[in-house]
Amino acid sequence: MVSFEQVSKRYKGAAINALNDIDLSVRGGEFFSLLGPSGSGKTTCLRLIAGFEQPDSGVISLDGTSMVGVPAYRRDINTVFQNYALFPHMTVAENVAYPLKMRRVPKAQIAPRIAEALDLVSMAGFEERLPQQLSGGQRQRVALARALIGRPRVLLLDEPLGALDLQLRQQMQTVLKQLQREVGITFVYVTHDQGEALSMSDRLAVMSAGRIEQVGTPRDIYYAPATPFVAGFIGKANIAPGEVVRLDSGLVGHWGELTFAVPDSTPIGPCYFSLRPEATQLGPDSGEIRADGVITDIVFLGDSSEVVLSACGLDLIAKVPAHVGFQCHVGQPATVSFSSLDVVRVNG
Amino acid sequence: MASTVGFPSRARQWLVLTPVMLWITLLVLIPNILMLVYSFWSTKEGVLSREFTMSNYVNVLTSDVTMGILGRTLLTAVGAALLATAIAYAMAWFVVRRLTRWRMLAVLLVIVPLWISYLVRVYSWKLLLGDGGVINSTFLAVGLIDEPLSFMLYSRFSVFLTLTYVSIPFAFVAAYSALERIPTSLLEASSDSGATPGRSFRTVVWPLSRQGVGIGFALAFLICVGDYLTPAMVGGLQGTMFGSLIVNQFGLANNWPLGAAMSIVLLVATGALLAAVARASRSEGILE
Repeated sequence: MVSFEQVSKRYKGAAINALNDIDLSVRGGEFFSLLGPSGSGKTTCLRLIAGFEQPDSGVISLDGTSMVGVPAYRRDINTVFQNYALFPHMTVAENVAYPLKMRRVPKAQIAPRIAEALDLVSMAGFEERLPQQLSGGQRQRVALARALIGRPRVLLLDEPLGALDLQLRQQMQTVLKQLQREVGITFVYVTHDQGEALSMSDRLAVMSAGRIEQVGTPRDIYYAPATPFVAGFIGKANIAPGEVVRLDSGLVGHWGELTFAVPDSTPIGPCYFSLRPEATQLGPDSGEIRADGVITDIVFLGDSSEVVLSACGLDLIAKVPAHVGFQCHVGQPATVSFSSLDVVRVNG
Repeated sequence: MASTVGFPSRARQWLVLTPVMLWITLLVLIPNILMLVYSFWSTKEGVLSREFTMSNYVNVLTSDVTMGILGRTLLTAVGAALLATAIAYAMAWFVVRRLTRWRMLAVLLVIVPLWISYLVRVYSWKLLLGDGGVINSTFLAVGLIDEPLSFMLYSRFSVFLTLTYVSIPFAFVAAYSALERIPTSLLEASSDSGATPGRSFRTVVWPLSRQGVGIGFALAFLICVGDYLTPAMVGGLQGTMFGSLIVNQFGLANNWPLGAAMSIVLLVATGALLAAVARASRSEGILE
């Protein structure tokens, strides 16, 4: 659907590339997210797809057709902007009708489609309002209707929920996901919120410093992070350097003072190991790996607590139920245990 | 309750408004009323007669020469203001959309002539356009012409050109501030919706900036329409403007009532024109 081949981009006057040799392919009809911290290049990717920027090198294509040199107004792609970018001098109806007018759709067809688009985002009845008479969430919906009315092949969304409060954001996440299933349009969604990306996407790409760190399903990304960056950026993780070595008995991983068996297919050599805090238990009984140590910190999170242990040369965070956390205190000796299956090897 | 709360705030309101009222009354209202009163008086052999008469207005409105100059003045002012606004708008567009690092410098360069005396700015056109001026001597030197182009100075052309030049900075400031307020994302949204650059201009940029353009035009027009210095310096006989006639009445001819009547006529004509511009350039919607 949308593909990047060796795409690089540097903004005028910038010292480093915004994007470095990006290869990416978004499939038709999927909800694809670009996730990364600010400055990672995700918005640049979006602007390249939209046609607001041109790549310095490489090719971006849409359905196999190269988009090099094709201006934004000739691309069958629409964008929902971060600040909504509604035209302040036009009513809601005029804003939503704008893409149809620009494509010279006959007047008689425009009215029913406005109604349909506003219906889709539950904004029927607001036709004659001006954007400044709407709340943030309402503007968001109108912007969405404007972007969808032309039935684009790809819909780009640039942190569309960033300016909304938490409750509205969660509500809009559901709306967006449902909408995407209903209309079947390919969504490319830019966000720095990992929760948003994990819960909404079919697949996502994690970006950092103008490169793609990993592309995969939310499950892949969460449970099998490809790089220490991904492991650290998505959720919480215990990440520390380690090494895989071959012994007579088979392959083993060394991590701090811990040693455990790893699958035969694991590459040998220095690497990082990552362990999710929620895959650990406080106490000796829940896995074949046990680490004895001393509690150095306890963080109460409401529904749970994080207990930090200094054990076997590692600082390990264990996620425990809140009531378990209350019984711990700093300086107390404790044991954390986990299964070797939950210790994920990550390329260094 | 209401009166105890209302009283001090109303008193404060008056305190704030009084200087403004005083200013308007002393410097705007009274002079204009005086002028209006004067325009119904007359002079006989240099002595002011305070009897009501319409003769000044009759004189102004029935004189072919005076009305001809009024028409020419309005035409010249509208033309110069239009040209200045168009040039300033294009310049402002370039500065806002194309420049980033040099933007403030560019704005400064457009406005810098305002720091120089008006007289000097007008006089410099004399040096450019005169028979022995920069343009004519250059053309003569390269053999483009055999004798100086005399239409360039002391003509309607030179008045038009000079007025256009002096009003560009004002029109520029108005156009610049209007265009700068339009966020780039609106242009991108328009392009994203399938609008060519030309259509984006017509449907987004122009509606959102035309009020600023209207203000710029009005400023430029007002500068042009009342000017008497420029015609005096570069206009010659052909380039006489209505402002020159008025100045003459208050000076050389010493006929203040006639001058006052002319001023009122110009005021009404100008007011009507600006009201029409204001109507045409009104725009809906607020840019945040």
